[in-house]
Amino acid sequence: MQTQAVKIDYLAQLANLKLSNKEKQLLAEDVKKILRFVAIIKKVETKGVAPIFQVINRRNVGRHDRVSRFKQSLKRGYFRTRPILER
Amino acid sequence: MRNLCSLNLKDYLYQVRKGNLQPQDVWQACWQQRGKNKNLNAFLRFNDLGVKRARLAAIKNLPLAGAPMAVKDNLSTRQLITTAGSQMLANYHPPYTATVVQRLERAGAIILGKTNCDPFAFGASGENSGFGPTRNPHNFERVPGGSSSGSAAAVAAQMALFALGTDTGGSIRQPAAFCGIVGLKPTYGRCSRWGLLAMGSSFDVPGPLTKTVADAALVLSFMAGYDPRDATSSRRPHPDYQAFLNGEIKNLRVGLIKEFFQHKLQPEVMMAIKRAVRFIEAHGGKIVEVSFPHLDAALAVYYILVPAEISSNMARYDGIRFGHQAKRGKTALARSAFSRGEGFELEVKRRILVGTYILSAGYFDAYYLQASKVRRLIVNDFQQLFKKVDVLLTPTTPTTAFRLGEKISDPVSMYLADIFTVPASVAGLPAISVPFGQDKEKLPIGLQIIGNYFREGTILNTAYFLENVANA
Repeated sequence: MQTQAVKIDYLAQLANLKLSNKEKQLLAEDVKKILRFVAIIKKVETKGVAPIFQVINRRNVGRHDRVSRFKQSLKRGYFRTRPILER
Repeated sequence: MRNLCSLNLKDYLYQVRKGNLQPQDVWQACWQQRGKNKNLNAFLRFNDLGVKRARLAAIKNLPLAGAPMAVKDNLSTRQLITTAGSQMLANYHPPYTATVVQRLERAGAIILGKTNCDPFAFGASGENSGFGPTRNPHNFERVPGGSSSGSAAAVAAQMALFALGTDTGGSIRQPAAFCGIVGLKPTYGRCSRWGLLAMGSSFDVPGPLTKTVADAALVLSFMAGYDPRDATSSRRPHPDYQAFLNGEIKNLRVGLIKEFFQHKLQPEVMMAIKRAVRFIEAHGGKIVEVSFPHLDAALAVYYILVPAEISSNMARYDGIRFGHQAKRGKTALARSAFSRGEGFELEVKRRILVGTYILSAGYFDAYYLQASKVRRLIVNDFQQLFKKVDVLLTPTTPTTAFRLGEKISDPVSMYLADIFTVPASVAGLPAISVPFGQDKEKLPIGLQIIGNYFREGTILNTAYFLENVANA
């Protein structure tokens, strides 16, 4: 886990963020600093510890998918939806 | 003439019910007070319909009788633009109102206005807002704390009877401490998050900022409760929190975490803790020294898990469904990247990038998964502590309010300002900050009381005791 290997252009691309050159320089330094700071987590012994994703023991309740009839909104095997982008 | 703005919520309700006061008079007074305090930059916009509503006689019969409340701008309000303190949402009109706001409105409170905050609640100083920094009413050169900066400043400057904030890692308690008011973070799940613009979904909790502990108990009683629209809200019934406030602490076991005092504390903050300990012992409480071995890891857990959740939550601001839309970019994806680059503030970008790194292939296990395991250890640590004590007493912050600009260029130094508030957030525990004296420069000091899950009543009563002895 090399925190030095932060490639800000690649990260910005993954995050879909357009950054200026000045921002790239500043944020690359900041991200490195923050990752160095949180690296303390590696020293904590967690063998046999299960991760926790929420803290008050709420159980995720799912339901079975129900397939509705969409015959009228099908076109060439695709669902038709309203356009979301304007030309 | 009485200064109507100086009333706390309970006194206001008493006077309205007795017929000594009309809600619109207090509204007018708060309205004038905000005019005098424009330099604080506490409010982003005002509710022009509020005064008209306050004139309605029917309001007087409701429990909160037209009380003017300030609402942090990351809580959705249908009738008012909600920006979350970011230029990204400068013109965003939510189609609905957050559950906690709705509940208070139904009880008779009226929104005075929306308060400034760090963008999307990312910040611990109130300096990062896309609409300019908020200032501390006690000293304009100091920060009010964050991210509920405007809510804390509005209550401290007597521009509102109470305010709503949100707390992810200390965003209610820290500004409450810096501004000399009461700030309560309820247990995770106690208050609905529906309508709260998400930051860290497994951490975020709305809560009240008030002038007194009794007001915090009253406001929480109306805010709390199960909401079918928030899958993480608790079905556990909530009591009337005011019933807990008797100031009796005999045999209360109060824990002092020794690791907290190994951090560099401002001498006056240390003295405040010692003074509180003397009062607690003198009134029959028992002080127990306890250990919390994962204190430093708690901050790291927070600054791994929260940016990870942020990078995911912020993906919805793509300039198409929500938010600022750039004019540049030839493809939809490029335009979205420009929209996000132009709309987000620097602190937002910083946290998104850290979260993206943490969640990226090859680093997920080392950071996110490991932090989720350490989070369980922290939850377990607290459960062990609450077998020995009823509440934990800590400073809310290591220092009083720092200077504007002092930490803005060093994110890690800024994050360390959250060292005492973050552990309760990581575990989802309730915690309250109560004012307890001032430093040499007359800046307020806050003490924090942390309780076990859903024990808001116990921490409110302990805070009520400290409030009484501090003012005695």
